[in-house]
Amino acid sequence: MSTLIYAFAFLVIPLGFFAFFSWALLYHILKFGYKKSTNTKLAFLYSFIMIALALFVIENYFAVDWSDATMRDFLRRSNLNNFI
Amino acid sequence: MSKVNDDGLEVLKRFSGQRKGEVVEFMLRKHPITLLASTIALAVVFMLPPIFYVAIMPAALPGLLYSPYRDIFFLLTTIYYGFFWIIAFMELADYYLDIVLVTNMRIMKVDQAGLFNRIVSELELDKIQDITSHIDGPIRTLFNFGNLEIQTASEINRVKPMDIPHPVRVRRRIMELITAIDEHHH
Repeated sequence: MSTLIYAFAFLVIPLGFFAFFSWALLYHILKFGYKKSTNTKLAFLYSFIMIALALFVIENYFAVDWSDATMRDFLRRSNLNNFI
Repeated sequence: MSKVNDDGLEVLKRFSGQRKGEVVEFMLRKHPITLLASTIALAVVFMLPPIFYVAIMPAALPGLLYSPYRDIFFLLTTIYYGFFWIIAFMELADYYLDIVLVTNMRIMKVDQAGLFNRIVSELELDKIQDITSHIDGPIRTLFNFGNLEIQTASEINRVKPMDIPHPVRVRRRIMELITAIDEHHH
């Protein structure tokens, strides 16, 4: 169950946001932009970086050890006592 | 499709909704210096994760600098940069899509106020009563950009070009176009 929650919180929802905003941005640039070559360049630049970042998110998500023991340990170690 | 005319102002040859005999005189965008504030803000936001890893994490969370714990931070950082890239590009799209188009018949202002928030206003040149150029403050004076205030008989006028380069030259050029229309009518 908790694995499913992690997958939603750290993979599905962020990638969903990326997809929605990317669609909205590309739609606006390609539909309302004033010069075809500039529109295409901007769309390509945006998509290239966005796809790379999305792939990094997927890779990093699967690199994390989501086991309960690691997560508990993570929360225990992330107290800010040392800093405060 | 776009080029620069004799006044040094960018020209768009064709646009959707163009009338018969309508010629684009010039197209205006906000002065690029208006992007400076958001560029600085974005640069600061971009630098936050490296600062966190180099300066804050070793002191505050030394127990999390190693795998498997740091992997969670790497994941959060890539998600963070994904949102950063979207916001940075929104700023750029906002700049790119905001224009003022002056033709021999009308002035059109397209204001992309945000995603799914697009305002397009137009004003016939023969409805214009007077135009004021307004360069306010040392930065606008130094970089020669400012606002145009266009007076019409109508109470509400939404065509107010803001932060455009060379406002005096633009004002003169629009007045010339209005004079040409008046001469044509008489």
